[in-house]
Amino acid sequence: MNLRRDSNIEILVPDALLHGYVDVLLSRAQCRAVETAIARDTGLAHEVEGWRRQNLGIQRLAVAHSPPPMPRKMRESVRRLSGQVHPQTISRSWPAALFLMLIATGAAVWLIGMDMNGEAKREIPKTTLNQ
Amino acid sequence: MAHHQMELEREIDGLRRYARLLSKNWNDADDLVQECLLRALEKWPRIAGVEDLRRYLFSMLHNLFIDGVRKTGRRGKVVPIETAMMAPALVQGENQDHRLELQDLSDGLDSLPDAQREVVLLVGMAGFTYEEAAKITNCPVGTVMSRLSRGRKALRDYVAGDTVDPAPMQQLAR
Repeated sequence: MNLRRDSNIEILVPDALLHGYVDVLLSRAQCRAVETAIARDTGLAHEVEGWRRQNLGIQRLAVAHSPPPMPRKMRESVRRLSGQVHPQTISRSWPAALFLMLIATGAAVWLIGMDMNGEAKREIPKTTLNQ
Repeated sequence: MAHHQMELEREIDGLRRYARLLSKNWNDADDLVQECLLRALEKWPRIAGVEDLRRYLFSMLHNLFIDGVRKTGRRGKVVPIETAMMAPALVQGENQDHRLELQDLSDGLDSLPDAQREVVLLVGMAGFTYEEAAKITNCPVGTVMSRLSRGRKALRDYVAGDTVDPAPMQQLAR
């Protein structure tokens, strides 16, 4: 906690408030309180300026470390996540889909055939009686 | 859903840069991000409903980083030979003074304990609020604020040349 002395009043500025001010996370009233303290204390103003410079430096550092090209696996993961289906995935998945569709069609044809067969068998005695 | 996907693509670059500063080299950073993406793929239908995808991804990366730290803490850290032998490549366009300044800052960040470095980066680089950083790191807001304060002071002292030997600092934090 920083204790700052002015000719008339004593201003107490907790570190948390100072960092909150630098990170623009304070309410308007808190901001005003810190600004009043800064205006009266050049040491405090320097400290704030130092934290701001540090933040800017970290941001510049993040930009300065230019990333190497995205690895192939990562690019594929990003592509999968962004919904762009990889051609390989298409070539692998469509024969499987066709196979499933053929099985389903075959099963449906077989069931319909069975059903019709049953109907025909049930109708035979009727026709015989009529004759 | 398309909105979340676009958001995700935008975040990958930021995630990689954050992971690089967190893990100190590109190999580990990209492993972290790749693992993070695979988890996101596994959980995609649920993630589509997440309100803050960016925070979710950073949180996932934090958990993976902590898991990695725990593992390497037990086994000892394996550093790729190219990382051990080569100085970090900072942008060539920067002038000498700026490059040295950035190099100091980079070394200073590396010297911070993991928990402090993480909070300093989440707030100072990624722009998260203290509450968001607390959610990402699974710790109370008060802890985030004290880590931030200590981390920033240690970094300032390092850059100013008042370096405390970083090794004992890290040991104290674990």
